[in-house]
Order: sequence, then C-alpha cells, then structure tokens
Amino acid sequence: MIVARGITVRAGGATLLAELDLEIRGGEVVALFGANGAGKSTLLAVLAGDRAPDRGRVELAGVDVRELSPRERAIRRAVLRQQSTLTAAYTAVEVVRLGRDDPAIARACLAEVELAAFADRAYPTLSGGEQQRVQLARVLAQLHGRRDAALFLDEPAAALDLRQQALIETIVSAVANRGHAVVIVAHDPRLIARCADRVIVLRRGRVLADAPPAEALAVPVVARAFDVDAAWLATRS
Amino acid sequence: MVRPGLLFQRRFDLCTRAPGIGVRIAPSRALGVLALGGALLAVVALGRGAVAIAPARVVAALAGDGSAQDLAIVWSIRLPRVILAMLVGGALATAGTTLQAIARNPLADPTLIGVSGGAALGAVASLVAGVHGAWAMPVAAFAGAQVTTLVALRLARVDHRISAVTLLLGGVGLAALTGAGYGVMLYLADDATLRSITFWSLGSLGGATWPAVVAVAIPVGLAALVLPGLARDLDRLALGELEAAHVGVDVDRVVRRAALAASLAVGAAVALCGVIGFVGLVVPYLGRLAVGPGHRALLPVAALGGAALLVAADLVARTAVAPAELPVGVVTAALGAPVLLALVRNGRGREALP
Repeated sequence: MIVARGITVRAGGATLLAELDLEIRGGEVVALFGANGAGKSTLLAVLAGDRAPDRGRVELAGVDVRELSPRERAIRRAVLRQQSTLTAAYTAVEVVRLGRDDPAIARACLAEVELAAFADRAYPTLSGGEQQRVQLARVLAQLHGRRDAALFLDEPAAALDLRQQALIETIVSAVANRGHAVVIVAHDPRLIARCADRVIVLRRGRVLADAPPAEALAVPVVARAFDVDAAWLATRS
Repeated sequence: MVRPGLLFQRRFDLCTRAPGIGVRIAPSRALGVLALGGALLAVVALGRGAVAIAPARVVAALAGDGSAQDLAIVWSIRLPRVILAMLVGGALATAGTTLQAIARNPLADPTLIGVSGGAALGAVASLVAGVHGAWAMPVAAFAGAQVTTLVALRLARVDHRISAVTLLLGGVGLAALTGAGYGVMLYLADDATLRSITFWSLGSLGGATWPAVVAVAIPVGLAALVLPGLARDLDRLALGELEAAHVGVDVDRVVRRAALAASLAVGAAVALCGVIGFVGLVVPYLGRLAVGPGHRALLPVAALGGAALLVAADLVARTAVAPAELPVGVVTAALGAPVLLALVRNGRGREALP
C-alpha cells in the first residue's frame, strides 16, 4: 500500500531522515512515535507527497507519489494536520465539501464525527475540538467510497477531550476496516496503544523500533527514544 | 441558535464569526437585487449632470427615441462614462476578491498591497516613454500590476503561508518603491506629458469615451473568462495552501492564474481611470456578509456590487460640488476607509497572522 525505500531528507546540514525503509499495508494502523525533532512530521510529509525526499522514493498503491498530480494524489491519500488555519465564514458542511463536493457524503461524514447537528453552524464559531472534528469529517469525505487509500493524521487528538479521543479511536479503526492504511503521528502512548497495530519509533531520523505497541512502547525502547532515564520513566508509567 | 454575546459580534463581525450564517442571502436573489439596483442607478446617473434629463427620457434615449440633444448627451457623453464606471468597479471588486482568496486575508486590497501602485507606475512609464496607441497604457499598467502582485505574494509567502503582516508591510514598501519610480517619471516627463499625467492621476472617470470602454472591456472580459473556473479552488485555498494541495488543488497553478486575472483587471482599471482605492476592499467585505465566502456566488456578486458602487460613487463625485468635480477616488475612500477600520478593529486582518 505505502512503500518507502531509502528515504533521506537533509536540511541545513542536518540529516532529518536517514535511509529509511518501510512498508504499510492496507487496513493497517501505524503510529509514528518519538521525541520532538526525531523526524516524525518530516516522514509524514514525505509519505503524503508534500515534500520530496533528497533520496529515495515513496509509492502509494504502486505509483511514485511525487509523480502524481495534486488531484490524483488527493484520490489516493488524505491528510489531517494538527491545526486548522481556516478563518473564512464557511458553515461546517461547506468546510467538509471542500474535501469532497457532495452534500450527502459531507453530511454523512459530519454524522460520523457526531456533528450532524452542527452542519449549518459557522465554522469560526465552533470550539477548537469541534473544528478539529469538522476537519476530520472533511478528510473522511475525501476517502469516502474509495478503497486502498492512505490516511495521514498528525496529532489528531491533541485538541480533543477524552470522549472525543475515544471517537478518534473508533474512526481510525473504521477507516482501517475499509481497507485504508492509516498513519498517525502521536505523542500520547495511550492513544497509540489503543489505536495502532504497529509502532515505528524514530530517533534522530532513524528507525529505533518497528513493532507492535506492547513491544515498541516498552520502557527501554521509550527511554532510548527520548533519551531519558529508564528507572525514572518506569516510576512514571 | 444564538449564543450569549454573539448578538454584539453579529453587528460588527458578521463577516466571519456570526452564527448569522442564517442571514445569508440566496446568491440568485442578491444578484437580482444588485442587477436591478445597478440598472436604476445607471438611469439616475444618465439623467444627472449639467443638463438634467428625466428618467423616462433617459430610457427613451437608450431605446433610440427622443430629442437630438438627449440622444447626444446620453449616448456620447454619459453612457460611456457609466459603462466605464461599471467595468472599472466590477474589475476592482473582483480583483480584490481574488487577491483576498490567494492571500487568505480580507485586507488584501489591490491598493493596500501595492498592486495599483505598480499599475500606475507602468501606465506613467508608458506615457513618459512616449509609447503611443490606445493599448500602450493598459498593457504597461497590466505589466506593472502583474510584477507587483508576484513580488507582494513572493515576499509574504513563507512556508506555504501568506503572512498578513508581511503582505501589508510589503505593500507599504512596494507603494514607496513604485511611488519613487513614479516621481522619477514625473521628473523625466515634458510639460505636455506632465499635464496628461496629472489629469489621469486624479483617479477620474472623466476620460470616458467609447474607445476607453473597449480598452477596459477586453482585459476585464479575459479576467472574467478565467475566474469562474477557479472559484472552487479559491474556496479550497481558504483551508491553507498545504491543505488545499491535500484536497487536490494545484496551488501554484491556481495562484498564478488568479494573480494574472487580478492583474488584468487592476491594470485595465488603473490605466484608464487612475488609482481608485477601497472598491476592492469594501465590496468583497459586504459580499461575504451577504452571500458567504464561497467564490461561485461571491465573484459575480462582487462584480455587480463593484459596478453599482462605482456608478454611485461617480454620480456623487460629479454632482456633489457641481459644476466642479470631485475625484471619484475621494468618494470611494470616504466609503472604504471606515470598512478598513472595522476590519482592523475586529481583528479580521490579524487572524491570518503567523
């Protein structure tokens, strides 16, 4: 589904990603985990086709992601960014239709994020968590009815309360069950433990661990990923 | 549903924050009202002036009936001026709407970000260089507008975002730079050219003739052909450039074409009528209040609204202190500056800050 080979990204003399290889199958939920600056967001940008790697290539469903037009790319993958900068006075349903211009699909996707009643409210009047869910609905609308696409989520639960985090988990597994590959950048190990089939732990642009959550989130691995003392970490968790 | 405190915002901040989406007017109705209002204004404008002509006689003259004097005044003097006002007003309002979509900021008025200044410099340079022909000024003004648009956007665009601060400060810088160039041109100009520059720079529709109407209509028509196809992508740009790319917009291509259309419109308007400010700010602002931010409705509403506004402003300009004439830019500034202040007051410009 998503195949990356030899991904290397450099910026200003620093190597952000070094010779990274990975494969993510359809239906799989993979979390990217690691310290700030470990390369999670860079990797997400490269996989989503936003950023060209200095070396290596990424294939989505067998096609080099950088060779696709923006329109073709939008059919194969959807991306939810951490923070929305939308300030125009669109209604919630109009925002969702920016992802997929179909009113019925848009309303169905708003219902999926439990915002059916908010469809005709002005987006800028919604709370941060509601706005984030509208953006999630937009991303779901983009993938609606499609198979074998990829969904990239950057800290999807950061602005959400507990109940809404549970909603994210439900939606992530529903999306994976439809055959899509899901890649989540997350800081919260609990969210990862509940959502992800696999965790790729990054440290300074390299893969430190690539394993199911139970293994990848073990104290020694996490301690090394964040350069913290294992004993201290053990007392915290 | 009205939340506590929102009634206050509703009055001052309908532009984006009001749940007053409920007060949106259906685009077809807004367009109907504007078309009708514009037509009525046009009839009034055609009747007012040194020789007053009653509305019934104006309509008759338009249909080809009436005295030779009525026909001459309506067809040769006032109609070109009214049509030029419509074209220029529609062009400026549409250009403002488009630039605001690209910049994702309601403050991106062609005058404020330096685009009109670039067009003016181009126009004056063509006069001073002594390039003759009906097309020299519009083409030079278009070139000036296009260069300043691209520079303004390039300056303000950092990391897939256009910063409002940089855009407006860049506009101040560009205005200073084009102003300096303008000064150099004045210095280089001979007396006769100086006189025509002064006449032109007052920002007046006084030079309206049928050839002038045609010279504006062609570039404005080209812009009008390009923009409808971009409307939906301009909507998507509101998500942010990166997000727009995520939903399938070829951002560079859309921004390039939209900037080109805006430059065509501003260049044509400035070449024929000088710099007329604030139309590109006020009309899109009111248009968003009326029909919402979607460009399929907003672009035609802005075009008709700008046309009606400039016909009205020109009517005031040439009748308020008759027999003298105010520069029409003075009238649009008097209308527009309060809207700018309201935008700043409500932080609408600030929201797109980095």
